[in-house]
Amino acid sequence: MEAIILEDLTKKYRERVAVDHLSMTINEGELLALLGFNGAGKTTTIKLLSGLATPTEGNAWILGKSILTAMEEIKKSLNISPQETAIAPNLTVNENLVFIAEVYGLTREVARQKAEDMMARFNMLDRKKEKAKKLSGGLKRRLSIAMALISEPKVLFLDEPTLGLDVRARRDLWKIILELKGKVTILLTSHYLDEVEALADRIAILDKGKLKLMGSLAELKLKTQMTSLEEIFLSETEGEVVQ
Amino acid sequence: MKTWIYAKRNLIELINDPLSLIFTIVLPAFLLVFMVSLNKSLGINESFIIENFLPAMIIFSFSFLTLFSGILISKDRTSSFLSRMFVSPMKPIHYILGYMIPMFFIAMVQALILYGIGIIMGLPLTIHLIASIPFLLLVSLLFISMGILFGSLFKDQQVGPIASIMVQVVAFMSGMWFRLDLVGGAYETIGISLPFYHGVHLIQSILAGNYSEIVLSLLIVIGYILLVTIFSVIAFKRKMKA
Repeated sequence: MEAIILEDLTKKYRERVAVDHLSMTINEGELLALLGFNGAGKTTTIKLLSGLATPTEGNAWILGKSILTAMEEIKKSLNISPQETAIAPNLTVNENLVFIAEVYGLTREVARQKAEDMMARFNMLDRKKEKAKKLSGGLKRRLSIAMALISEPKVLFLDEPTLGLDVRARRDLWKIILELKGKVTILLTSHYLDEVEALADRIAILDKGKLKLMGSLAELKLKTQMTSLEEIFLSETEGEVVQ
Repeated sequence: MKTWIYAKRNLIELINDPLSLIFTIVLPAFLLVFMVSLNKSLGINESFIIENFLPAMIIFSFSFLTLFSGILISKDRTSSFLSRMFVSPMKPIHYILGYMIPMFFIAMVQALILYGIGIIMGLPLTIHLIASIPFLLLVSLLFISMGILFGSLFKDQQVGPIASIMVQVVAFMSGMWFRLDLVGGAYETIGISLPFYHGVHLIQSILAGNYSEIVLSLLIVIGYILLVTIFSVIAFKRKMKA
C-alpha cells in the first residue's frame, strides 16, 4: 500500500524552481532515499510534505490525506528529524524526550515511560540527566531521531541524518535506522552515496528539483547499464546548484 | 495544555542560562541599590530618588526580556527546533503564548524583587504600589513582543547587538539617568515619541498616586504594544511558512 504519493509537486521561490513537478510514490514501511547535490530540492521536498512550506503547484497525499487540505490531521502521524539537530539545548536528554512526547498529546506518566524506553533503545540511559548541549554531535543526532520516534509516527522524515558525523557515529545511526525499516515509512535525504546504498529500499535521484531516476539500486544499475551508484549519480546530475 | 508544555520548556531554557538571571535581576538590583545609596549620600540628582529611580530600573530590567526572548526564538529558528515544532500538532497561538508566559513570569519576579529591595530602601508600601503591578506587566508585554519580533526577523548573532542597542535606548531615552527636558531639543522629542519614557512616567505617576497624569502615557504604551504585537505575530507566522 502507498503511504506517500506526490503528484506534480512544485515549489518556486520567485524565479527559482526548487522542486519541479515531482511525482513519485513511497510504499508503507519503505525507506526511500532522496539523493542529490546541495540545492537539488531534497530538503524543500521534505518541507512541502511536512507542512513547513506550501506547494506552488501539485499535491501530495500522506496516508491518504492531502497536504493541501488535511495537514493538521497528517501532522498527528508524522515526525521529522531536521538537518540541524533541533533539540532544546538547556534541557536534559530526558526533558527533551518528555517534552516532545507531551507536545504530541501523551500524558506526563506515559511520556516519562516512553522517554525511558527511547533512552534504553538508543543507549542513552547513562546520559539521561545531561544537558543536550553537552552531548557529542553523534549523540545529539541520536537524541534528535529519538525525539522524532517518541510519538510513534507512521511516517518519518530524516533530513541528512548523518551530516557532519564521524564514521563510528554514522554507523551507529545507520544501525538504528535499519532497525526501523519495515515498521515506519521513511523518507531520507542524503548526499552520501554509501549511506544511501546501505539504507535505502529505493533511491530517487534529484537534480535541480527534478526527478531524474528512481528505483532500487539493482533496478538503477539495470536501467543505466552502469555498475556503481556513483557512476549512475554523476551521469544523471549536472553538479551543485549555486544559490 | 500545549501552551503550558511549551511555556515550561522555554522557562527552563531561560533560567538554565545564568547570564539571563544576572542581566534580568542581578544587574538592575545592583544599579538600584548603588545609585539610590549614592544619591542619599551625595544628593546628585532627583532621578535617583527611590520613587523615581525604581520604576525606571524595573522598566530597564524589562529591556533584557527583549534580549533573551529574542535570542531564544532566533536560536530555536536557526537550530531548526522551531521546524520540529511546526511539524508537530501545535498551532501558532501555542508558540506565541508559550514564549510570552515565561517572560511574564520573569517580569513578575523582576518587579517583585526590585520592589522588595525598594521597600527595604525606604519606598513606602502603599496601595499605589500594589496598583502599579498590573501596569508593569502591561509594559513588560511591549518588551516581550519586541523580543518575539527581533527573534522572528533576525539571526541569533544579530539579535544580541540589536537588542543591546535597544537596552541603551531604554537607558538614555526613558529618563532613567536624567530628565529628558534637561537636554531638550531633538533628544527630548525623540524620547517622548518612544514608549520607554511613557512606561517609566506611567509607573512613577501611579506610585505617586497621580492617576490623572497617566492617561496619555498609558495610551501611548498601549498603542506601541498593539503595534509591536501585531508586527511580531505577523513576522512569526511568516517565518513558520518561510
